[in-house]
Amino acid sequence: MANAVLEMIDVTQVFGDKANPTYALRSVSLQVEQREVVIIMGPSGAGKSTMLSIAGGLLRPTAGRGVIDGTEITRLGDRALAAVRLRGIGFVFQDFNLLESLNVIQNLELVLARAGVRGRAATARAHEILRILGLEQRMDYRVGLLSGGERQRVAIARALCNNPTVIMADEPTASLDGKRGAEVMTMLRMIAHDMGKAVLMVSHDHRVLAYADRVVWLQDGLLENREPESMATIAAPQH
Amino acid sequence: MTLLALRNLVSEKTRFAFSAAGIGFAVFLITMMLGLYQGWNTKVGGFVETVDADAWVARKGTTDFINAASILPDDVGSDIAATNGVTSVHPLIVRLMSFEKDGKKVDLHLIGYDVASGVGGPAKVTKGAKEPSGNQIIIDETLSRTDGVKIGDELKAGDMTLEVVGIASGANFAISQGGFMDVDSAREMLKMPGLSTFYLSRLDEGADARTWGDAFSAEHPDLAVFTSGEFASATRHRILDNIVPILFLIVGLAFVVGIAVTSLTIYTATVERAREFGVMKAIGFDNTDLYKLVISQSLITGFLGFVWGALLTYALSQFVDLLVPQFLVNVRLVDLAFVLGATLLMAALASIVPARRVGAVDPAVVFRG
Repeated sequence: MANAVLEMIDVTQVFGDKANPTYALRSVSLQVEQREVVIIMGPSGAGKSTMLSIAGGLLRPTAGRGVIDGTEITRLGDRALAAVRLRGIGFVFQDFNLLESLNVIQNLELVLARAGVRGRAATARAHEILRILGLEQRMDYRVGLLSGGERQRVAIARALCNNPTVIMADEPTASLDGKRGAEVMTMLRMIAHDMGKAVLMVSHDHRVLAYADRVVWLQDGLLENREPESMATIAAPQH
Repeated sequence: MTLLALRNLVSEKTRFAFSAAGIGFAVFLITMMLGLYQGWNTKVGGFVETVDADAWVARKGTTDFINAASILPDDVGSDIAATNGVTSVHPLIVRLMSFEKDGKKVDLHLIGYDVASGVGGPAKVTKGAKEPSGNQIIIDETLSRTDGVKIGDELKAGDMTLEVVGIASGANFAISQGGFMDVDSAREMLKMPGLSTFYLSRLDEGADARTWGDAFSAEHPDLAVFTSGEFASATRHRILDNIVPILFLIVGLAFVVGIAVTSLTIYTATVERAREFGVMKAIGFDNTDLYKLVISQSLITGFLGFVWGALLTYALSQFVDLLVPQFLVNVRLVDLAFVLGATLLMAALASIVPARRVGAVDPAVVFRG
C-alpha cells in the first residue's frame, strides 16, 4: 500500500512464561492508509486491544515491527515513543478518559501545551477543533456535566488537536446509544475522508460496519481481511 | 500542568483541606519551636545586654547570670576601681529565692543593684516607683501577671518582707523572672554585709573590655572577667544548650510527620487517579511530565499548609506568653523563610513515593476497560 501511514509487520505478542506461553498475536501484519477507516473485529479475548496497544506504541511486541508515518516505533525509547503518541496518534477511548477536573477547552489546551502550543495559539486551535465538532457552546463546561455523546466528541477533539496522522479508537460507541454512536462514527469517517487521517478502530458493535472502508477479523491471534458487507451477518454485539 | 495540579487537588476539597491542615500543624510546630528558641535567645541573655556595664567581674568558676554562684567581698570593688581605665564600679547581688504571697509560692531572681547609678537595675519601669529603697522591690511584669503580684503586695521569705512598689519589663529570663531592690538593703536582708555576687565596671570610652579583663584577671587569678557580650552569650548557652536538643527533636519529628501526611495524601490521590495518569501517558505525556504534576500537587499542598501554619503561629504567638510565661516566642521573617524552604523540601520529599508510583503506571491500562 503506497499511502500506508500505519504498518504492523509480522507482529507477535506472547504473554506468560516460556513454559506456558499465551499467543495474543501470531505474526500479524496490517497496513492502514490515509483517508481510510479500518475496523478490527473479533470475539472477546481475540487480541484486539493488544493489537491496538502495539499499534499505538503503548506496548512493545514480542516480535515484529510497528511503523507510524515512516517511524519504526518499536525501536523507540519511552520518551521518543511518548512524543510519537503526542503528535502522531490521536486516541479515542470507550470511556472517553477525559481529565474530569478540567473543563472542555482546558482538556485540549493541556495536550496542546505538551506539544509546545501555548497561549493564544493553543486557544485558537482548540476553538477551531471544537467548532468543527460542534462543541463551541460547551468549551467552558466541566466535562462531567456533558452527555456521553458530547464527551466522546470532546475526546475526538482532544485526539485531533495536535493534528495526528492516525486516530486510534477503542470501542468508541460502546458507551453511547444508537444515535450518539452514529454521530461519533460519522465524525470519525469525516475525520478520515475529509481531514485525511487514518482511522484504526476496535469494535464489537456491528452497527459501525457501515462506516468502515475495511474490516479485519482477529481470532486466535490471527488476522484476516473481510468485506464489511459479509461481516454484518456474523458480528453481532457481544457486550 | 500547575492548573491541572490545582484542579486535581481542589476536586477533592476535604482531603486537600486535611492534607494542608496536617502540614500546617507541622509548620506551626516547627515555627513555634524556632520562635521559642529565638524568644529564649533574646530574653535569656537580653537582660545582661541591657545592663549599662562593659565588664562583669565574678568569682572564678562562675559561668553565667542565671546560676550566679559567686560571692565577692568589698575589696574586689576597690581593686577594680583602682585599675586604670575604669570609670565606675557597681555591686550587684543576684540570688534565686522563693517567697510567699498569701500562702502561695513566688520564685524570683532577687537582684540587688546600685539604685543611685541604676546600673544593673530594671530596663524599663512600666508602673509604680522607679527607684526602690529599703524593703521595696520592683518585679518583672511577667511575674506580676502569672503570679498575680500587684503593687502594694508583700512577698515574704523567713524574716524578710518585701513590698512591691513597681512593675518593670525586660527581666523575664524564661526559667524565672527578676525582682529589683536596693543593693545595700539586699545585703542587709540576706545577711551578707559587704558582699556582692558581681561587680559591674564601666570603662573609659574606647577602652576594650576584653583587654582590660585579661589584665585584671592576670592580677586576680581567683576572679573571672566577662565582657557584657560574653556574659550574655554564656547565659544564653546555659539555658539554650539544655533545650536545643529537645527543640531539634520536636522540629525533626514535625518534619517527619509533615512528610508522612503529605506523602500519604498525595499517594492516595495518585493511586485514585492511576487510570488518569495512564491516559495522560497514552496521549503523549512522559514520566517527567507526570512527576512534575505530582510534585506540583505536593508543593501546592505544602505551600497552603505553610500559609495556614504561619497564620496559626502568628495568631498564637500574640498571646501564648500570657498563658505560659516561659513560652517566649519571637518569630522572625528569616525563620519563616527557613520554614517555607523546609516545608517545600518536605513536600518535595513527600512526592518521591507517589512519583515512583506514577512512573510505574502502564499506559496500556487505557485499553483494559
